[in-house]
Amino acid sequence: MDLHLLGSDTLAIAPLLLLLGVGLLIMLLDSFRVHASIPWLAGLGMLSAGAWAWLAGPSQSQVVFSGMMEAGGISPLVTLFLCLAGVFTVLFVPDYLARHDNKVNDVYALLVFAVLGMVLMANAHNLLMTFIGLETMSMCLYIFAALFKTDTRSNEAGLKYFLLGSFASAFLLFGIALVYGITGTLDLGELSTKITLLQENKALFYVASGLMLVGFLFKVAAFPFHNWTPDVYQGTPTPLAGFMATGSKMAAFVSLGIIIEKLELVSPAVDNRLATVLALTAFLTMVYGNLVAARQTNLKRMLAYSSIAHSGYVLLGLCAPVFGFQAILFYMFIYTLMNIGAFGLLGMAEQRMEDTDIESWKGLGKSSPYMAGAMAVFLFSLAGIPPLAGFMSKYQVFLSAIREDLVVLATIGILTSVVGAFYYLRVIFLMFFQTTEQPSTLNLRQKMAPATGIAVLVLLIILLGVFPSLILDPIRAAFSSDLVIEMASQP
Amino acid sequence: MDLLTPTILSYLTVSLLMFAIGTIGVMTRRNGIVVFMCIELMLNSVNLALVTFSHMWDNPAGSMLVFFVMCVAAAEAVVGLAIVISIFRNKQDIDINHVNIFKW
Repeated sequence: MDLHLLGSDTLAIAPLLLLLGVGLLIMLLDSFRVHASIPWLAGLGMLSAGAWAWLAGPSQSQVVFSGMMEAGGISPLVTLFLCLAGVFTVLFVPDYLARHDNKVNDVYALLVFAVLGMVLMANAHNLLMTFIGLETMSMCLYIFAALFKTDTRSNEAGLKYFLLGSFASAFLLFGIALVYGITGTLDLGELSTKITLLQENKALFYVASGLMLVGFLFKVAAFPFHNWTPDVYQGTPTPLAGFMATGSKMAAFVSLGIIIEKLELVSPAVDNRLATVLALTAFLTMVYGNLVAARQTNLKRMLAYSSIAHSGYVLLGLCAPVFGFQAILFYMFIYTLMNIGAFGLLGMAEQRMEDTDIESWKGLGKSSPYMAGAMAVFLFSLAGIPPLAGFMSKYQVFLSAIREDLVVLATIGILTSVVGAFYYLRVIFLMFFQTTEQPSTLNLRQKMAPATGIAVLVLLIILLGVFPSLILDPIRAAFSSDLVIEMASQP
Repeated sequence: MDLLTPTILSYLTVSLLMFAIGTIGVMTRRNGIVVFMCIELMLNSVNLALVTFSHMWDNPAGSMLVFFVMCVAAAEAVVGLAIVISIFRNKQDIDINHVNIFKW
């Protein structure tokens, strides 16, 4: 490879290098006892990496680093979204850790590395990179879960996530090995041409893609592989649980979407049983997540089950090719905003164990109306009530499903989201309309950074609900530049 | 390419057996460290399969992935054992049946 190419390759992954540099710098500063500036450095680093990817990224889809990474197409936008998830999380973390007397500054380095892993995974053009990105991300998330070393709940969350997560990774890896055995390549571009020509070993290919699907479905907490979710989220420091529920899912869904597209797992042209499996999983995840969330008494667990339900909606989008993929990218971005907001606010309220009980949020509307109002916005948006962004994202997903004649599944999705509205609205009812003698015991101290974060998130949710095209248009443009390349490259 | 020539098949059988033993171990064993060892066994069975396929196709992509899998397994061991140690410090016990505060 000549030097000119190497330079342009390096430029294409410059945001990743920036993230890596920031992460290493944080670890270095931490050992020199420079503590105060570390959260700022992490936040600004991720923000500039995201902005760099989005502003300077190539508009045309191309493959760099000997076919390892994708640049252009949807990848600048995905990088921006993932970095923003990290930035919003970092606003809530310092305050939360300070209140729990935990001053582990490595957590910011891990946060940056987790974002790095997510970006690697979502921009991978080779199954090797997918695997490395996934593991980089997961390793950081395991440590997040086990962050409070002396707290047995955090220990438990860490152990459960770690054992089940690596168990699922092994299945994913076996799937990758079998795909490699069948086709002789790990490159997603080559794979997509070889799979269409595949004559023999069809059954083995189904087994391989099934195993890979197991790995991904675990990461996104879809129905048969969801059991770890509530326990892990409950034991994880709350703002980081919000990050877990959003960033890692976005990366996994984008990666899964790309793999499904390249390997033609749900294309209607091919006789394909995996499309049925995916549709069934989507159905079960939506129903199960919403029904079980409705009977939770702990707000953190309720949000965990609601995140399972949201995975179901995204899986529904994945069942519908092309339009569905655009819809789920939009959906995941909006979901990231509202869920990080909800978890962040929950973290701000959390002083004692029982503060995450739904009952203790009773009457919060009186004692701290702004915070209760912000929580109401997040919950209304999660429930999918117009004119908030959560409504537009759900609408896009259901629309894409109906366009692909998945009417029954879309109807079930709409019905389950009505059930979902019940448990979100119950919290809002408790906060504002439940008359109590004494005001809420929650002590929402409003520090600057988290309060700013909440304000920005609320504004974004309202703004994107009224003008969804602000995000939808760039997403459509990114996808159309992807399609142009595909058409041009065909003979 | 035929996957089912006798040589390749024998390697694959060993790999599959190892994977199955690992899976069964994860599901039945109750000691945190043994469960973790079973997961490592599963990863190594994948490595065996990858090397076989790499040899079969006569291309290095599979062997390359093996090196990365070994690195990842090493990193996983670091994180996993650290978590197990922090549990042991609090409970003097790493039986995963006793790690059950959360219930729904």
